Amino acid sequence: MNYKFNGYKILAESKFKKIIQKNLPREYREVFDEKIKYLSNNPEHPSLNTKQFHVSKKTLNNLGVDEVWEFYINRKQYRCIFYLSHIDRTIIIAYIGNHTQIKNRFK
Amino acid sequence: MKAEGKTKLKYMAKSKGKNKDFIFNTKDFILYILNRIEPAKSDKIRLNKIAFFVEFAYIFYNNKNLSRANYAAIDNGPVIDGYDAILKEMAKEKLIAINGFALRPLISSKADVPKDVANFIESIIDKYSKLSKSELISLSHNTDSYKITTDNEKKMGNIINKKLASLEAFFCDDDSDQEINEKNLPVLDKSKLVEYEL
Repeated sequence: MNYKFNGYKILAESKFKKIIQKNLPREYREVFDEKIKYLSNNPEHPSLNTKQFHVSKKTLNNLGVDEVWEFYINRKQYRCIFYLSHIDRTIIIAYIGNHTQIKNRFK
Repeated sequence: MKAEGKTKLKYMAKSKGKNKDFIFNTKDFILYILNRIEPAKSDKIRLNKIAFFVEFAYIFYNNKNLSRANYAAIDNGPVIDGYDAILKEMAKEKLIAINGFALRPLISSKADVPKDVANFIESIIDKYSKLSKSELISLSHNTDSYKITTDNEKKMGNIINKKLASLEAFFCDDDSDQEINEKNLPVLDKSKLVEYEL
């Protein structure tokens, strides 16, 4: 996997903090922030278990991004899906949720 | 680190009934571990490393402490805080015998350990007992909680915050990888994106 996105700026929708409060238990919010720091500085950090999804070019064009990835917030229970835009050098947080929420939403 | 530390955990303790409030005192925790380790492999280094991995794996999966032990980050990696004094006390109380670095339990732990907790602990002890001492040391040095506490091995002697166990994703079992349906990926309005503030 090509992890060459260290140093990218992290973006999220302005309502994202509310989504975190809704989908992520309080005890994992601090962990999430730690992991976001890792993601920005060292995407290969072992605690992230970062993984790229294979997504069609059509979908990527539709999303307006170059790649789709995920990292683990806490084991498999809580995960974060994020996009990469290389031209803007940005990591865009797309979704966080637990295993069931992600399964229900993306299956 | 990932390959060494990857565990296949069959058991997860469930937070029900008496499990909910169960916590080891430090001496009982040590006794429990020593009684589970092969006598030939029972020594101070292995005890300290296994105790750390068991406790942090337990917190990682169950989000609560397993014992009252604290863990100090020293040159040799994470260890039970004050372990030498605790072990000497245990020897005086005839709970264990110490012979140099070797340790031998003289009695069983008296802790009333719930079955689910026992299953969990034993699976972790068995997993890490198989590793050599140098593998255990190397693995423990590579944990996030140790690296964060020591600021990448620059500051020694601090107590490791148990909340950092949540970062140790190498405890994960990788069996349940799933793909996603790309059609359902959220389309974000780029005009509403802002820099994420930590």
